[in-house]
Amino acid sequence: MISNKVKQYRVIRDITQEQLASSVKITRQSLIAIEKQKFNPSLELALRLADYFKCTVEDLFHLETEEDK
Amino acid sequence: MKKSNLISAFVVLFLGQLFVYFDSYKGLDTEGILSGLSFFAGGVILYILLTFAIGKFKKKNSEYPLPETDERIQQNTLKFAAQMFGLSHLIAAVVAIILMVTDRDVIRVEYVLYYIVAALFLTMILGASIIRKR
Repeated sequence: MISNKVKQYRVIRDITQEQLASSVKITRQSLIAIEKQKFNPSLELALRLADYFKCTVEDLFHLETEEDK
Repeated sequence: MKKSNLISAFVVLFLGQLFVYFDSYKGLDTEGILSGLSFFAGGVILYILLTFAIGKFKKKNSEYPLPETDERIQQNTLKFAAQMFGLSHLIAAVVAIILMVTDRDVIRVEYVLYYIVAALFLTMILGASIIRKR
Protein backbone atom coordinates (compact mmCIF):
# COMPACT_ATOMS: atom_id res chain seq x y z
CA MET A 1 0.00 0.00 0.00
CA ILE A 2 1.16 3.54 -0.76
CA SER A 3 0.76 6.26 1.85
CA ASN A 4 1.25 9.96 1.21
CA LYS A 5 1.89 13.19 3.07
CA VAL A 6 0.05 15.50 0.68
CA LYS A 7 -2.27 16.79 3.40
CA GLN A 8 0.62 17.54 5.80
CA TYR A 9 2.53 19.41 3.08
CA ARG A 10 -0.57 21.37 2.12
CA VAL A 11 -1.53 22.30 5.68
CA ILE A 12 2.04 23.39 6.57
CA ARG A 13 2.05 25.73 3.56
CA ASP A 14 -1.44 27.00 4.43
CA ILE A 15 -2.88 26.17 1.01
CA THR A 16 -6.56 25.37 0.44
CA GLN A 17 -7.62 22.18 -1.33
CA GLU A 18 -9.11 24.28 -4.11
CA GLN A 19 -5.84 26.15 -4.68
CA LEU A 20 -3.77 22.98 -4.80
CA ALA A 21 -6.27 21.12 -7.00
CA SER A 22 -6.37 24.04 -9.42
CA SER A 23 -2.55 24.26 -9.56
CA VAL A 24 -2.02 20.58 -10.36
CA LYS A 25 -5.11 20.47 -12.61
CA ILE A 26 -7.24 17.91 -10.78
CA THR A 27 -10.71 18.10 -9.25
CA ARG A 28 -11.19 18.85 -5.56
CA GLN A 29 -12.81 15.45 -5.07
CA SER A 30 -9.70 13.74 -6.43
CA LEU A 31 -7.46 15.69 -4.07
CA ILE A 32 -9.69 14.69 -1.15
CA ALA A 33 -9.42 11.03 -2.26
CA ILE A 34 -5.61 11.33 -2.46
CA GLU A 35 -5.37 12.96 0.98
CA LYS A 36 -7.57 10.25 2.50
CA GLN A 37 -5.27 7.61 0.94
CA LYS A 38 -8.19 6.26 -1.11
CA PHE A 39 -6.66 6.94 -4.51
CA ASN A 40 -3.10 6.47 -5.76
CA PRO A 41 -2.26 9.14 -8.32
CA SER A 42 -0.43 8.38 -11.56
CA LEU A 43 3.32 8.96 -11.80
CA GLU A 44 2.65 12.14 -13.79
CA LEU A 45 0.39 13.59 -11.09
CA ALA A 46 2.79 12.50 -8.32
CA LEU A 47 5.59 14.38 -10.12
CA ARG A 48 3.35 17.43 -10.55
CA LEU A 49 2.56 17.41 -6.81
CA ALA A 50 6.25 17.01 -5.92
CA ASP A 51 7.12 19.86 -8.29
CA TYR A 52 4.44 22.06 -6.70
CA PHE A 53 5.76 21.42 -3.16
CA LYS A 54 9.41 21.62 -4.36
CA CYS A 55 10.25 18.21 -2.89
CA THR A 56 10.93 14.72 -4.20
CA VAL A 57 8.24 12.13 -4.93
CA GLU A 58 9.74 9.96 -2.16
CA ASP A 59 9.14 12.79 0.34
CA LEU A 60 5.45 12.82 -0.57
CA PHE A 61 4.78 9.14 -1.23
CA HIS A 62 5.94 6.13 0.71
CA LEU A 63 5.51 2.43 -0.02
CA GLU A 64 4.34 0.74 3.16
CA THR A 65 5.99 -2.62 3.78
CA GLU A 66 5.16 -5.36 6.27
CA GLU A 67 7.88 -3.99 8.60
CA ASP A 68 6.14 -0.57 8.71
CA LYS A 69 2.95 -2.19 9.98
CA MET B 1 -20.35 25.18 -23.36
CA LYS B 2 -17.34 23.91 -25.33
CA LYS B 3 -17.25 24.09 -29.12
CA SER B 4 -17.10 20.27 -29.38
CA ASN B 5 -20.18 19.92 -27.13
CA LEU B 6 -22.05 22.42 -29.28
CA ILE B 7 -21.17 20.46 -32.43
CA SER B 8 -22.32 17.19 -30.76
CA ALA B 9 -25.61 18.83 -29.76
CA PHE B 10 -26.24 19.94 -33.34
CA VAL B 11 -25.36 16.47 -34.66
CA VAL B 12 -27.89 14.98 -32.19
CA LEU B 13 -30.41 17.58 -33.37
CA PHE B 14 -29.85 16.68 -37.02
CA LEU B 15 -29.95 12.90 -36.47
CA GLY B 16 -32.99 13.23 -34.20
CA GLN B 17 -34.81 15.29 -36.82
CA LEU B 18 -34.09 12.61 -39.42
CA PHE B 19 -35.32 9.89 -37.04
CA VAL B 20 -38.52 11.79 -36.15
CA TYR B 21 -39.15 12.51 -39.84
CA PHE B 22 -38.78 8.91 -41.02
CA ASP B 23 -40.49 7.48 -37.93
CA SER B 24 -43.62 9.62 -38.40
CA TYR B 25 -43.58 9.56 -42.21
CA LYS B 26 -46.03 6.68 -42.62
CA GLY B 27 -48.65 7.43 -39.99
CA LEU B 28 -48.93 11.24 -39.89
CA ASP B 29 -49.85 14.08 -42.21
CA THR B 30 -47.52 17.01 -42.97
CA GLU B 31 -48.78 19.03 -40.00
CA GLY B 32 -48.17 16.15 -37.60
CA ILE B 33 -44.66 15.60 -38.92
CA LEU B 34 -43.86 19.32 -38.64
CA SER B 35 -45.14 19.53 -35.06
CA GLY B 36 -43.08 16.45 -34.14
CA LEU B 37 -39.96 17.97 -35.71
CA SER B 38 -40.45 21.36 -34.06
CA PHE B 39 -41.14 19.72 -30.66
CA PHE B 40 -37.89 17.75 -30.87
CA ALA B 41 -35.90 20.75 -32.13
CA GLY B 42 -37.36 22.91 -29.33
CA GLY B 43 -36.28 20.34 -26.72
CA VAL B 44 -32.71 20.13 -28.03
CA ILE B 45 -32.35 23.93 -28.34
CA LEU B 46 -33.69 24.35 -24.78
CA TYR B 47 -31.11 21.81 -23.58
CA ILE B 48 -28.30 23.71 -25.38
CA LEU B 49 -29.42 27.04 -23.88
CA LEU B 50 -29.71 25.58 -20.36
CA THR B 51 -26.24 24.00 -20.57
CA PHE B 52 -24.82 27.28 -21.85
CA ALA B 53 -26.47 29.26 -19.00
CA ILE B 54 -25.30 26.79 -16.33
CA GLY B 55 -21.74 26.91 -17.77
CA LYS B 56 -21.68 30.72 -17.60
CA PHE B 57 -23.02 30.70 -14.03
CA LYS B 58 -20.43 28.14 -12.89
CA LYS B 59 -17.50 30.05 -14.42
CA LYS B 60 -18.38 33.26 -12.61
CA ASN B 61 -18.34 31.58 -9.19
CA SER B 62 -14.96 29.85 -9.36
CA GLU B 63 -11.97 31.84 -8.12
CA TYR B 64 -9.61 28.96 -8.86
CA PRO B 65 -10.53 27.25 -12.13
CA LEU B 66 -10.82 23.50 -11.59
CA PRO B 67 -10.94 20.97 -14.42
CA GLU B 68 -14.19 19.07 -15.02
CA THR B 69 -12.39 15.77 -15.39
CA ASP B 70 -9.08 14.21 -14.38
CA GLU B 71 -7.39 10.80 -14.29
CA ARG B 72 -9.40 9.55 -11.30
CA ILE B 73 -12.73 10.47 -12.91
CA GLN B 74 -11.66 8.88 -16.21
CA GLN B 75 -10.68 5.69 -14.38
CA ASN B 76 -13.95 5.60 -12.43
CA THR B 77 -16.02 6.36 -15.55
CA LEU B 78 -14.40 3.48 -17.45
CA LYS B 79 -14.91 1.17 -14.46
CA PHE B 80 -18.57 2.23 -14.18
CA ALA B 81 -19.11 1.77 -17.95
CA ALA B 82 -17.59 -1.72 -17.83
CA GLN B 83 -19.78 -2.68 -14.85
CA MET B 84 -22.93 -1.26 -16.47
CA PHE B 85 -22.28 -3.00 -19.79
CA GLY B 86 -21.60 -6.26 -17.96
CA LEU B 87 -24.79 -5.89 -15.93
CA SER B 88 -26.92 -4.98 -18.95
CA HIS B 89 -25.58 -8.00 -20.87
CA LEU B 90 -26.32 -10.23 -17.88
CA ILE B 91 -29.91 -8.91 -17.64
CA ALA B 92 -30.36 -9.36 -21.41
CA ALA B 93 -29.03 -12.92 -21.19
CA VAL B 94 -31.39 -13.79 -18.31
CA VAL B 95 -34.40 -12.29 -20.17
CA ALA B 96 -33.40 -14.15 -23.37
CA ILE B 97 -33.13 -17.46 -21.47
CA ILE B 98 -36.53 -16.90 -19.81
CA LEU B 99 -38.10 -16.09 -23.19
CA MET B 100 -36.50 -19.15 -24.76
CA VAL B 101 -37.60 -21.47 -21.95
CA THR B 102 -41.17 -20.13 -22.06
CA ASP B 103 -41.31 -20.72 -25.85
CA ARG B 104 -41.55 -17.03 -26.76
CA ASP B 105 -38.85 -17.10 -29.37
CA VAL B 106 -39.98 -13.97 -31.22
CA ILE B 107 -40.00 -10.45 -29.73
CA ARG B 108 -40.32 -7.04 -31.37
CA VAL B 109 -37.11 -5.37 -32.48
CA GLU B 110 -38.43 -2.14 -30.90
CA TYR B 111 -38.04 -3.58 -27.38
CA VAL B 112 -34.42 -4.59 -28.07
CA LEU B 113 -33.71 -1.12 -29.51
CA TYR B 114 -35.25 0.65 -26.48
CA TYR B 115 -33.20 -1.54 -24.14
CA ILE B 116 -29.94 -0.84 -25.99
CA VAL B 117 -30.60 2.91 -26.17
CA ALA B 118 -31.51 3.02 -22.45
CA ALA B 119 -28.37 1.07 -21.48
CA LEU B 120 -26.17 3.32 -23.66
CA PHE B 121 -27.82 6.50 -22.32
CA LEU B 122 -27.44 5.40 -18.69
CA THR B 123 -23.82 4.39 -19.17
CA MET B 124 -22.48 7.10 -21.45
CA ILE B 125 -24.39 10.20 -20.34
CA LEU B 126 -25.88 9.72 -16.88
CA GLY B 127 -22.97 7.54 -15.69
CA ALA B 128 -20.37 10.19 -16.53
CA SER B 129 -22.33 12.91 -14.72
CA ILE B 130 -22.88 10.69 -11.65
CA ILE B 131 -19.16 9.85 -11.46
CA ARG B 132 -18.20 13.55 -11.76
CA LYS B 133 -20.37 14.42 -8.74
CA ARG B 134 -18.86 11.72 -6.49
